[in-house]
Amino acid sequence: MTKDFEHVYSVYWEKVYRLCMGYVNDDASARDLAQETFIRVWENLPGFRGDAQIGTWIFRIASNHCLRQLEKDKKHRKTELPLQLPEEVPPDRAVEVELLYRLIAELPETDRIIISLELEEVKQGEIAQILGLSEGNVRVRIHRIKERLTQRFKDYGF
Amino acid sequence: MDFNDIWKARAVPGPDVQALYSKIKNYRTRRLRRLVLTNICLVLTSVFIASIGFWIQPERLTTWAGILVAILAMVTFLLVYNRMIPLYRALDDHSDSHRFMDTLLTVKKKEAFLNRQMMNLYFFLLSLGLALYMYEYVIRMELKWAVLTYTVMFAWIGFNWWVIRPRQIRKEQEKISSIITRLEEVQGQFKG
Repeated sequence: MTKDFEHVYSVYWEKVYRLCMGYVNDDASARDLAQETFIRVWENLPGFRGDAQIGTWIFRIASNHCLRQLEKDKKHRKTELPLQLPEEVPPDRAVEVELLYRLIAELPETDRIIISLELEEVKQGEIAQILGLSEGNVRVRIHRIKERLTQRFKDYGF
Repeated sequence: MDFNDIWKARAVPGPDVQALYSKIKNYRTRRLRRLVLTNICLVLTSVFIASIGFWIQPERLTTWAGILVAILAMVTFLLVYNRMIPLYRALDDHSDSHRFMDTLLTVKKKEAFLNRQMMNLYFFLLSLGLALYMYEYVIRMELKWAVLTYTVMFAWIGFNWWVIRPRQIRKEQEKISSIITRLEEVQGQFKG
């Protein structure tokens, strides 16, 4: 069990962490969320029946755990962006990364999870299974979210 | 714009399995501690109330009834409190998120209902218990003292019932209903 768990943990840690980061856009909270997700994985792994892929199963736990933050947060964690990014900051990769995660964390909760999973290259059919949506709905929403993100990136001069 | 590349360029702290194991240990202890503490507190209070009956040996049935009703208030609180735990255990956090949110919302609504009912019953039983318990001692007093004692007691009960109880219920309900509203908002996103 310990060996299986540690394998799963090492394979999925980064993916789950980024998913949580996309949801909250805060390093400390993302680490807590990801760790708590793996606590649930640890507790439930012996009962995992294999009727879904292990990845789908872990992402479901992570997604549900992120959504449970609604029970705790007083307000949605929405970091407002300044209207203009400071000019002295070169538009390099670090700024792009920060901007992307901020923009994702501003989306409605389910959209944050959908786009994070899409960017983790999870298949759209699998995203649909994780969230309990139709594949068509997921496809349409991914398209809209990407359009919106592209527009926002343009607004910031990228 | 290649969002996939930007997404994966994010620096991620490395996995730390030892830190995780120690968190698993703490998490279990913390979850149990609250449950055990609440139960112990109320059981001890009940034992204390029962021991008053035992040491004072009341002569009247009303005093015994008062003690029993007060204990019943504690037991009711514990039963309802402990009934909320299986509600959360039933939350299947590896079901799909749409179903998970539906269940979570049902659980929260049930919790809101249980909380309100429990508070009403708890305050009612405690007040009734106190009034019954005092009867034996009050009838031994002179009339004016008896009237004064019951007046003060009923004023206290009234203050609890009309001021403290609604305030407690409102505080709990505000917390739960703001959560319910947020859950409903997100539930709407699954339909949109």
